[in-house]
Parts: sequence; structure tokens; C-alpha cells
Amino acid sequence: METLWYALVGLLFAAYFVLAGLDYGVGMLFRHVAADDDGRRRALATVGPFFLGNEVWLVAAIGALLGAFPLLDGKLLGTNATLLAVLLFGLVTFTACVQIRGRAKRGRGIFDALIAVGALVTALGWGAFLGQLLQGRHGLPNWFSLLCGLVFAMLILLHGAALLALRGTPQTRAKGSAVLTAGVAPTLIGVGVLTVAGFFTAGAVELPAVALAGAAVLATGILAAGRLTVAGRHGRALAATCVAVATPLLVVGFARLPFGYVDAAEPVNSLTVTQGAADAAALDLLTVAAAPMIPVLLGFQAVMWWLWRRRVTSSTPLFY
Amino acid sequence: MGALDLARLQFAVTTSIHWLFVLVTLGLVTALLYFQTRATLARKEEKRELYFRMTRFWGLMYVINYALGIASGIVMEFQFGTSWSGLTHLVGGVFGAPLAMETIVAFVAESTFLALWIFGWHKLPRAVHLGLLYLVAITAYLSAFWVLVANGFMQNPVGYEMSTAADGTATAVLTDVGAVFANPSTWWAFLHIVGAALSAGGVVILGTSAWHILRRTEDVFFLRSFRVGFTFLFLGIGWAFGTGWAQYGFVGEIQPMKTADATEAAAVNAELAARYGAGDYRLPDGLRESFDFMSMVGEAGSTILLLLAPIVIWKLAAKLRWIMPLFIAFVPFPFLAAVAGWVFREVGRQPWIVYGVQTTADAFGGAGVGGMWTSFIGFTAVLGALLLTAWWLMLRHGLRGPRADVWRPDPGTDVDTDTHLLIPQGTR
Repeated sequence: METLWYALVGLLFAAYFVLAGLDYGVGMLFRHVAADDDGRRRALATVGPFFLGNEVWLVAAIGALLGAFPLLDGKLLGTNATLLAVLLFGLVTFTACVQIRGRAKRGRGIFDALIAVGALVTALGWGAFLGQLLQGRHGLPNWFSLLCGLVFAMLILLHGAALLALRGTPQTRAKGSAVLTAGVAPTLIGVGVLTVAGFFTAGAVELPAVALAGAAVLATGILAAGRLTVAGRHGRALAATCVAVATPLLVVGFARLPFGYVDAAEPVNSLTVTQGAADAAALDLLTVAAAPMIPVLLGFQAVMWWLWRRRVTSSTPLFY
Repeated sequence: MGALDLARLQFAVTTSIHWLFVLVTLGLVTALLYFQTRATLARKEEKRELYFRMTRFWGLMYVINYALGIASGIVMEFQFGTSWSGLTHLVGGVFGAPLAMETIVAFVAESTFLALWIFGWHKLPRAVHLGLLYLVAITAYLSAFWVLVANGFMQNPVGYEMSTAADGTATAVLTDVGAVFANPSTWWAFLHIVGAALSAGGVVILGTSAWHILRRTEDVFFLRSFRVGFTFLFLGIGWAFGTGWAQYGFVGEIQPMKTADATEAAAVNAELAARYGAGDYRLPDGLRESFDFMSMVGEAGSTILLLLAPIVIWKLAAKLRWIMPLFIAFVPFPFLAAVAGWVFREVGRQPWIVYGVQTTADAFGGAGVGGMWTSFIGFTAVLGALLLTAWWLMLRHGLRGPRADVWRPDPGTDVDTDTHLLIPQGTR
């Protein structure tokens, strides 16, 4: 049963990274792709109807982690409290400013800058957190974690650019495509450096083959996104960035097995997935009462994407 | 102040701010159900239009509050892991499950339905759109229920057994799901906060409407809203007051010190020391006053509102405009009482985090003093700013009134490009 829940928690985190990654990517880019306020609002409208639904997957993921793996929750979050505090700071700033900017009469420039910075800090923070987990490291992030943060932020940037290239107004689409194609090479270099560096530093990796396969998928996804964008296949390019954004999480989730929490300095503190799980009664309860809701929620959100499948135009209703 | 005190203070501030958002969410969504149901069922065109405008006007207030309140919940959720890993370690196997249910079955569902509702105007059939609001409301109350299942376990732990692993570490194991869900501490609290939430939603509508009645902005709209707000506030306060006193005896049974007065405190302390080991189990100074304040708001509030009820029953508000400032003055009280009640419930449980099972000090697993200060100051500032911003935006929206451009933040924007939720549905 804990295997199922390990997969479900992974699914929830993946949904968060892939969906909210769009918000963060667009948040980092929307000032760049449009100079005037109307253009910026239309750039934000590419995530507009989905914004709320995207962000809340994090709440589900952390909640499921707490419910199904209470010991892992305490260890994973507790040992990286400072990093997560910075991340949350960025995340709260980002979500709040997105909500406020459209209602503010003055100072939209400031809110826009805060949105971009908040999104960047959030993306950097998640990447660095994944880097910490790959090393089994506690406390402040080291250079490897920061590098992971940087590469993950670049990945999120490409992801947002892919959405802008697909759903934006003509001007936004052109700029989104340009960002994506320009970003492919640096991101690939980053992935390469991380893969090599990981050999020496990622001490928590138990299954190097999984990590290598992940790096290969990541590189392929990035490369494919660039090629497809050049070819004008923006929907497929977005699918490729979705895979790419989810991959680092899968690497962290699978390559450390059987461990869910690794303490490289004091290996005796490490917890396997089974050790970190709640007991059978709690997991059974969650399986019966919570798990069936996950596909329902994904279904409802899919309906939203279908309802707002059209591109943003000059007559699209704006909310943010 | 030590790291533990800071972590407690941080959680208290985060929860209180979160709770203030939650109150408005639950209260207003219930009022919205009334407005939109009447709009959808209305036969006459002008009634339909009026109620749709009311749904939209109060709906935006609700949406502002909800959208900015989410962040406070995320921060709170992380704190279980970052500051209270001892709690998740010992009893996470029992109390984590309802919190997980809260997030998946209730909160994410609520947000998903709400997003569909916000963006679904003019796009979805009216019945479907109304159905979504019902789903939003149901999941909102479910959310509160799940959270109180977790909190009820902390107040009155039931349905578990302690199990000791091979290495000697103890953890709580869920043995009786039914008992955890049927926990009277959960149900009493849930019934009680329903009243608190209705009164909070009601007072927001009442205060705003009173201001507009005073200014004669738009009588049909606000006289009707006034009556709805009054009814919610009156029923909510009365219900909270009744369910509050009704559970008083039960609270005294599970946590004798909470209801002990000054003369009994020493005897109860001796009794608790005999049960749980030597220690000081008395409540901190001033905590009793927070209870007294809450009960005074309930008692005085229901009496005053009962006396004022003729204004609503005989529809006298338009003739008694001078009395409206009184209703505006009501606005802070349901909120202050709700925070006071929450502080009483939570601080009154001390020194326990899970009553009789784990002390708050044992549950602490956070950073050192320096890190806690940084995190405390930083998050208090951000969440405080968030709360003030939300209230400022709600106030501005409320005072501006339901003008045609109410959904259009930019006065300069072309109406056609910005029809979002803007034009009354009946006239489109």
C-alpha cells in the first residue's frame, strides 16, 4: 500500500510542478514578452483560468505526504526549513501579487516585478530542494543544490515560454517561441554539467542508472521542445516541456529507492519509504476515501483546459 | 524568547490569520448560495437580474478573500513539517490522514470548482454554474470538518493505540476510524464554527449594506442585502452562542482545567499532576478573559440583534437610516470573538499539543532561535500584509458598490474587451 501512496504523492507533486510550473514560467516571462499593461494582462491570461487550480496541487501534495508518510514529511521538510522558508516567501509573494496586480490602481510595475522575482525564487527553491535530496544534505544549500535550482528555473522558464508560444496573442507567441529556442542550449549545458557533477556529489542516489536515464529523458525533452517550436508544433513542444519538468522529480523519487529520506552525514537516520509510511489502517483509509478523488480532480481540471482551449485574443476576458 | 515559544507564536499568528480568511470564505459562500439560487429560480426578469448582480457583487468580495487567503493555508501546512516534526513523528499516522483528506477531497476540489465558477459566467449553463457553487460550498465546509477532525484528535485523542517499534520509538496507530470521525470534540467545534462563519459572512454584508443605505446608493440592492446580512449575523451568533455553551460541560470533562475557575484551579492542578506527572497545568493569565470576551460578544450580540430584529421584520431600514452606523460598528466583533475563541481552544490545551499524549515542547522540531526569528518576522510581515491587502481590496470593492464597472478594474478599458463577469446575465 505504501508503494501506491508513494506513487500518488509523486503524482501530486508532478501535477504541481507541471501545472504550477506554467504559472511560474509565465510569471518570470510576462514582463519580458509584453511592455504595456494590456499585453501583460493578456500574457497572464494564458494561465488565467487555470491559475488557481494549478497552484493548489502543492497543498494536496504536502497534505498527502503528511497523511501517508508522516515521518518523511517531518524529515524532508524539517531538515531543510530555511530553504523552504525562502521558497515559501517567494511563492506567497508570487501568488498574492498575481491576485493583487489586476485590482491595484497604482504600482502595477512593482507588483509585476514582485511576481517575476517571486516566481524565480520559487523555481530556484524547488530545484535547490531537489538538489538537497539528491545529496542527502541538510541545512543551507551548497553549490550543487544551487546549480540544480538554476537549471530547474531555466526549465520552468522554457515551460512557461512553451505555453506563451501556444496560447498567447500573436506578439506573445512570437516572443515565447524566441525565448524557448534561445533557452534550449544553455539549459542542455546545465543538465550536462549537473549529470557529470552528480556523479561526484549526489550521494543519495542508490540507482545511478535511473538518474542517467532521467538525465537522458530531460535532455531529449528540452531538445524536442526546441525543435518542435521551430517547426511550429507548439502543442507538442508544450508536451515535451511537461515531461522535462516532471523528470527531475521522478529522478529524485526513483533513484533514491528504497529510501524516501537520506541523511548522507548520518546514514543511520535515513528512512526507507516503508519506514516513513503511516500504518496500514491510515493508508487504507486514505486509499478508500482520498485516492479516488485524484482522477476526478484531474478530470475537472481537464474540462477547464478544454473550455478555455482557445488562444488568448484581444477579446479574451481578463481577470488578473 | 526561545525557539519553541517563537514556533508557537508563529503557528498562532499563521493560524489566526488563516482563520480570519476562512471565516469570511465559509460565511460568504453560504450567502452566495442564497443569492445565486434565487437568481437562477427567479421567474421575473428584474428579480433575476437583481439577484445575479448581488451574486456577482458579493461574489467578488468572496473571491478576493479566497484568493489571498490560500497563501496563509500553504504556510500553515508547511509548518507541521518544518516546526513540529515531533508531532508528525508521534501521531502523524492518525492525525495526518484527516489533513490529507482535507487537502485532496476538500481544498483542491474547492479551488477547482471555484475556478470553474469564477471563469464560467456566460460560458456554462446556468444550472451547471449554480451546481458548481454548491460544490464549492460543500467542499468548503468539508474542508473545515476535516481540519477539525485533526484538531479534535489533538483536543481529545481517540481511536488510536500507541505502538512501540523494535528500536523503541513509539508511534500512534489508527485503530478505530469511526471513533476519530465521531469525536465529539470535532463535532462540537464544527457546529460552533458554522455559527461563527455565518455571523462573519453576515456582518460583512450587513456592514457594507448599512454604509450604502446611509449614503442612499442603491436602495433595492442594499436593503435586500441588508436583510440577508442581518439574518446571517443573527442566526450565526445565536447558533455559535448556543453550541458554545452546550459543549461547555463536555470540554470540562476532557480538559478539566479549561473550565475550572480560580477557586478550583489548585485542586484541578493536583488532580492533573496525579494523572500526568508533576507540573503546572494552570492556564496562562489572560486566557480566561479571551473566553469571557467571546461569550460576551455572543450574549450581547444576540440580545442587541433580537431587539433590532423589527427593523428587518417590518422592513424599516429605509426609514431608520440614522441607525445604520450602529450596524457598521458591529463589523469587527464576530472576527475578534472568533480569534478569541480559537486562542482559548488552543492555548487552553497547553501544555499539551495532543492532550495527555504529547507536550508541545516534545513536538517541537524546528530550527534554532536565529532561524526561528527570521522566519517568524518574515512570515508575520508577509501574512499580515496579505490580510491587510485583502481587507483593503474588499473594503474598496464594498464601498464602491455594484456599479456597472464593478468587475472591471481599469476604468479606461474598453468594455467589449473586458466583459468578464461584468454585464448582468439577463441583459446579455
